[in-house]
Amino acid sequence: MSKSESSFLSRLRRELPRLVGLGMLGEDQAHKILDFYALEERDATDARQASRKNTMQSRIPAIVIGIAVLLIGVGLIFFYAANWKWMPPTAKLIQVFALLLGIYGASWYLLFVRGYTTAGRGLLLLGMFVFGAAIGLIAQIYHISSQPSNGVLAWLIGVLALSIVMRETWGYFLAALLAYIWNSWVGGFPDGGAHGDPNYVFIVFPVLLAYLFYREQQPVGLLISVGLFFIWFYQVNFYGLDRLERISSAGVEAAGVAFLFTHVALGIAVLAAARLRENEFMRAPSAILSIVGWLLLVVPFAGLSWPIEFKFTAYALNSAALPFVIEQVVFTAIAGGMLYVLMRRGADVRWLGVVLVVALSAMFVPLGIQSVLLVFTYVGLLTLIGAMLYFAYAAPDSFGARKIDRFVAIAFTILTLLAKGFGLLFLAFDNDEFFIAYGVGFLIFATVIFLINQFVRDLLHKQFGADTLRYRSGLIDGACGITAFGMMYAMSFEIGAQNSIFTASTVVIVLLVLMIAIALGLYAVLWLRGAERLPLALSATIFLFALFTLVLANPQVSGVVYSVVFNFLIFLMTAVLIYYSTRISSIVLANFAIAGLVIQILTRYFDWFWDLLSGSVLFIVTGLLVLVGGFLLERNRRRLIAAIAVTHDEHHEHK
Amino acid sequence: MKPFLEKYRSQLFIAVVVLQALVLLGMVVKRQQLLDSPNTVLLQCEPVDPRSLLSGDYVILTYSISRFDGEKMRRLNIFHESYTYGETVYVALQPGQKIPTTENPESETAPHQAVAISRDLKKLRETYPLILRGRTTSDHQWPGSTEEVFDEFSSGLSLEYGVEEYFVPQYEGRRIETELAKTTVEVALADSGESAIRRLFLDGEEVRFY
Repeated sequence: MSKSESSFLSRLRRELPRLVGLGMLGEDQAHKILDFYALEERDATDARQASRKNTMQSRIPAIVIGIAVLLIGVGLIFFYAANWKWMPPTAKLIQVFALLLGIYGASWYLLFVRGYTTAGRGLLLLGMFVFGAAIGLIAQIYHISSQPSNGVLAWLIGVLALSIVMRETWGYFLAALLAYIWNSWVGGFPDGGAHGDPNYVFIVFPVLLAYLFYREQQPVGLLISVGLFFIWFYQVNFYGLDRLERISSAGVEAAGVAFLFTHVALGIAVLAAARLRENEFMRAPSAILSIVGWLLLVVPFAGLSWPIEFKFTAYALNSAALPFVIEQVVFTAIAGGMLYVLMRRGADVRWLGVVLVVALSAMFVPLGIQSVLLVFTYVGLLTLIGAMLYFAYAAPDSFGARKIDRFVAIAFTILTLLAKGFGLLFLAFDNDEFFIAYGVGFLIFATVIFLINQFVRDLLHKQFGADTLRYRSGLIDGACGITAFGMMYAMSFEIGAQNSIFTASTVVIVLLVLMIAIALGLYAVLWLRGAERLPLALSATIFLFALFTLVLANPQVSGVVYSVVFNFLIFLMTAVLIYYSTRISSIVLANFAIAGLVIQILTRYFDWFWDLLSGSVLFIVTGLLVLVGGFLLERNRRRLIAAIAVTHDEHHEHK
Repeated sequence: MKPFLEKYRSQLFIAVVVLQALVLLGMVVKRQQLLDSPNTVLLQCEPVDPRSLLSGDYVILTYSISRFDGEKMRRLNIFHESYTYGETVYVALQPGQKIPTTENPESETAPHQAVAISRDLKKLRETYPLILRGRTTSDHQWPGSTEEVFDEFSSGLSLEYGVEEYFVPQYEGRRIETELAKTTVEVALADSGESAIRRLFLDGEEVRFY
């Protein structure tokens, strides 16, 4: 019985007595209804248990034979490896051939003549082990050691060919194991393996195995193949980068950036693969692929959104990086094809299509110029946050709506906020003449994340309705609020003389202008869409005051000014949030806001910077603000009570 | 693809098994042909690190032509050349000095010595009949400075030929390992320079396990 059926029954058990109480149902009828559904539940459980028992019983011979094959197979390999000396090499060869053909012959006879599927398949698998043992024996007799990986490769191909012909799932598993062993010999990080070097051609094994496991609906096998694919991907690329590093330092940088942007295409392809089939078999692989896909997607944007200096301009223009650029184009084409398939099935893939195109266009963008790099990666990062949040919550027919996506989207947003928050706080303490600049920089970043969150919520609610879609925007709002509070708190103490922001490097100014522009754009859009006004107004007030302080800051301005501004903003924020918490009936928000207020009051009481007079002014002003807040609160409460009373009366009149 | 597989599954089964057998047979035949080649050389083994080299059931063999230090490279005129890991090179061999064996002073072995190394098989073939194909297992960069600098920084050039492992019955490798300095190996050569171990001698006596 599914989870939804079970919750239906428990709800029925709760609801029926209530309906009886209201006189809508008789006791007898309620019992009959409950019995009917309870009986159905018991039948379903019995049937499920019986079928599980039957399946287990029918599998016992297969399991026993499987264990026997594994033991004999491994035993045979050890047997030949022991290299016993009482038989001349020719005799050894004759008997290994006889054994191989004998086992395969018996398997063929059992499968095609007698129809003994389990035993026949057991012998088939044993034959595959003997094939490997025979390769080992020949290598032993002739002392072949120059390329031991070739022996494993021959074994792998032999096993794979026979398994494909016979659709032998355990053969695929054996082939996957051999592919891992072979790969570890010819791959290796970063400069090749013990017996060879990575190669683009080697992709054939992971792809073929993934297809075969997918066809046989084997989730474990599918994930093993995906693992093999990623090992291949990193081996071949790290090997290429390692080779390039010896030739051209600009080339290796360009190739490295191309490789990072290939992650976007790969991430989208993986996300699309996770959604190609919606059934029980794909449940676990889909969840894992989704996490992997989203993580891959953010790699270049998170990895490159720092002030890095490159020796190239646009990476596609660096000829040494050409193979990596081609790789990105190929993966983009694959991802594009997969998105197209999903689009044909009615999924909304537009946002991801845009991300794919933007990542592809990166090759012609002069990322070697630091400001361009930062603008590009920050815009990419913010767009991705928006896209992840939207798709994780959009309706099921769209590209998303999975619990795992929701977790990843929210976790990634909050982690980005924290990473940038701590990064900038560290920079602020490290360069205290730009303390306000870094602090306000973070406030602006947090504002942008907050606004993206509001935008996505507004979009989702208008599209799907606030009731059907429980977008957990509170978590991100809360993270923005707490981090912004923390940064303002850090700026509310006495700070030394500050340098003007206009003396900062071009990169910092460009980034600030970009963030301000995005924030203003989002404010305008949200205001026009009629999003909730109060949180918008509060954040806009903090944003504008912070911005104003940033522009004003210069060595002539007294440190007191910054302190006053941020103390005022902290009081304003906590007061408005306390008010807002009553309006949306959120005890959590109220508690957080009150905790913030208490921290602020205690800090200011013990803060030696404030003399008694200014301290008293601060408390009086704050008290007045809180009083105004209290008045608004009271008025709102009365209005609410009056509204409820009217609705109640109307309801009664209706009756 | 699916109907074809289902229709001919029984025949395809046999076909793949035959192919597997042919692969095995191919391995045997190719190796046997190589061993039957009239060209053979005798290589002198060298003792390696005293740590246990017995890895289960084979002995690791290193030869006097496995490592070329600065002195050897000077002698072979490859001192100023650069090699990267994994390159294919060809080593020309000629019989060296005869060495009397300890057990039987009358019997003598004459291990072959490297007389030239080149990347060009054809060119080497014009002068030398016995050529062994090898693969570099170390980088060797000529720093373009004085020879003293070279000796200080370069560890020379290492090569492997595919005849470095000699399989033996379990626990029987120790005798060879402890006597590597007295061990020689007869190697069969193909025209391509490919090689295979034909026989192993300990102090001039062939070691047979069968």
